[in-house]
Amino acid sequence: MSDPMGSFFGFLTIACKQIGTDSMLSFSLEHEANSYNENVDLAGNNSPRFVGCWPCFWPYLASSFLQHGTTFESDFHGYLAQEFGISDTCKGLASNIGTLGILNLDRKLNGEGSHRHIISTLRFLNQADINSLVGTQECEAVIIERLPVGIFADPFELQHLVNHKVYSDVAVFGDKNLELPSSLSNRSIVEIHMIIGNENSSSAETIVQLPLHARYPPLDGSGYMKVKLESPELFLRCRPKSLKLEPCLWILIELNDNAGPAKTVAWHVPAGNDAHRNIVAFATFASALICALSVFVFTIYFSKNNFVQVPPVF
Amino acid sequence: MEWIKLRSLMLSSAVLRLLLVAYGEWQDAHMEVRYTDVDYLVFSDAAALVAAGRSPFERSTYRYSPLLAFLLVPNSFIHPSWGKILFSAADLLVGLFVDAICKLRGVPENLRLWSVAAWLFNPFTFTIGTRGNCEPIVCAVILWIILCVMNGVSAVYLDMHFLLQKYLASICKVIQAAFWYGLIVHFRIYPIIYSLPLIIVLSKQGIDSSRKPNLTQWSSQQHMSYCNSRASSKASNCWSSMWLFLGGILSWNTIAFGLLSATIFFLLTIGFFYLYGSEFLNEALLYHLTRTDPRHNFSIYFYHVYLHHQLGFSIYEKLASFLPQLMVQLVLIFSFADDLSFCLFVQTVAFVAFNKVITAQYFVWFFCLLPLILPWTSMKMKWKGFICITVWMTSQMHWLMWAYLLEFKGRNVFIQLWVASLLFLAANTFVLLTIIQYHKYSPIFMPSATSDYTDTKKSE
Repeated sequence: MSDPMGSFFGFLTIACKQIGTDSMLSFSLEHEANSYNENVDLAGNNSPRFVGCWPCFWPYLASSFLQHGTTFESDFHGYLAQEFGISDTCKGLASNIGTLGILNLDRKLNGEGSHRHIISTLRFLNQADINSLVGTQECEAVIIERLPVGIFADPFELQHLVNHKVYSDVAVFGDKNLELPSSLSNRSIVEIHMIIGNENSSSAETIVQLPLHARYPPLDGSGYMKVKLESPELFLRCRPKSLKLEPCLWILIELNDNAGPAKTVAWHVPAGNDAHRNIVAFATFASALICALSVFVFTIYFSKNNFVQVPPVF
Repeated sequence: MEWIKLRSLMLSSAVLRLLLVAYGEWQDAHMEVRYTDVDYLVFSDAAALVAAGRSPFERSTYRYSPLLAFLLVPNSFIHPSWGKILFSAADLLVGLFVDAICKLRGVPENLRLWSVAAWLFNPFTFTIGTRGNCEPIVCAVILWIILCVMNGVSAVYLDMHFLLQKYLASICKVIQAAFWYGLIVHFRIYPIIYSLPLIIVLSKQGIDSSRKPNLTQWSSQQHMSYCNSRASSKASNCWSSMWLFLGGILSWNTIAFGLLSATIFFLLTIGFFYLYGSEFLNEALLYHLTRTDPRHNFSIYFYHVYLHHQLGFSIYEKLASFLPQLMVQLVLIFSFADDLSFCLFVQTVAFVAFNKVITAQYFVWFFCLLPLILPWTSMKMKWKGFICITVWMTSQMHWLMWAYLLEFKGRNVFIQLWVASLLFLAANTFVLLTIIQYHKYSPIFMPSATSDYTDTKKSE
């Protein structure tokens, strides 16, 4: 541990847990950004990474992600490091959080066909910590799904789920067009907020179910296109239940699941076959013509006495 | 059937629809799958935007006239089901109009009641209004236009005991028909196909303009064709004098109709363009004209569109899909325009069958005209009627089965689905031709009393 900044951060984590709220250590923003990134290797497998403080008036984590000239593949962590600074108040609040980590994250794609659910099951490392945390803090899990081209989430359906209290909040960024096929559309990001530690706190899991829909994929000779869903970014945001302090801030912690390889889920979407192109075109127009001609001939035959008479010009 | 009066028919359908709307609310709140159509939510959201003073086109996938959003504004402050009640009321109005039209043409009461029941108790019909689809309004307006045309130019009190018809008799009908026609073409583009038959029928009216319009009355005789005594030389004269025809359709009625409906259409278009800008033009008008939706639907063209989506479409391809439709529409118009309700019915069936996109709600467009032709068909339920219904429903079910496998089971059944859509077109063609074959052609207006026509007048 030759890196002084890293050890400082490690110390902070332990100190907050054991000593209390008054450890005020000052870091510059720059150092924080560095140590944030380095912490991946140093903090050990399942511990959370303290990201920073999120102002309450700013509803969604990912809302400005797409606006800074980034692409979907850009480093989300780098973006966060830029967006979130650490102020003194923030550090003070953070000391209440303690350590949390998720034991594992299970990903399952439920359903068949074009409308499925991606189910993410989060199991926390230390359930007792969660229980004591939610006693004093209001906490929400923040899940950020970066959807590939070819899959989309319906914002209206998600809003319906919010109305039914399945999620506490949800937002979709990026391409929301529900009707275009994949070749003409782009990726989107879905951000879900779910309250943890509510009345179901006896269960050790938080289950997030996101309904997804497949677009018509580009043509493929095999008849199917494989669409891959990567692991989501997981965060936890907490703020004290007695919200008397100004400014109102959420503490943001990133949850890592380093317990296994990245959990990618594959979805096979039926695709048209371009080998059919010519035969389909020919048969379609031929059928239309045949049916139209039969109507034409039949109608004339059956109504040959009925043709519209020219009325005498007045 | 005499004991079932119109009133009890209307009352029971009203009750049925109210119950369904209430059930729909329950299902929406308690079950995963909603009863309400997705489109209704789109209309409601757009109406809420209008109530807040904004453009309804801010709601994505809102592709209708702003008039619909205006109609549904009470959704925000009376009850979210206001729209469904409105559409169901339009449904009942269609039933009333069917009865009025049949009565004007002297259809006996029991047959009339069957016709009205064929609309009111068609399962397709009562679900579509209660689920929140706006098609019943379009149907009501179309039937009202037919009523106006049938009631003629002159402000003559027609001896009817029906409250509605007393109202009808006192208004200048062609002007009214033109107004509603301009409105409905703005609302839904497809009624433009009715322009030619309406003009042809109105030009006939000009012959008797100062007299009470003579509507041919229904007769129980089983003639297959109205004009079977007419010499076939007349038919060849028709063909050769087609150019005279064009001059012949010009009359004060038709000019007034054409000008007024076009004016209403353009006024509405310009008005809404001024209010909502190019978004209105793109979403409400151009989208429907240039729509190439590759997602699966009943139309035979869907797979072709999907396979070519990335390549774009040449002008020849666009023309090639338009030509069968045009050919069929023209032959139907020129054969049947005099029998207005029948002409509109067969035109609508053909239009839907040959269209580039077909969704289930389009079927209502001809279901509302079906009761108007039932009294004139010599097709019996056994077995021709039964066969027609079975063929049509079976081909639909077959298509739905493959669509289910594709969409909900994720199997690649594109080719099978496409073949199912070809079979559906074949079924539609079969049913259309059978209906034409068994129809007793009867022009709406009695021809004027000249020597050419008196020998062909049907006896009553």
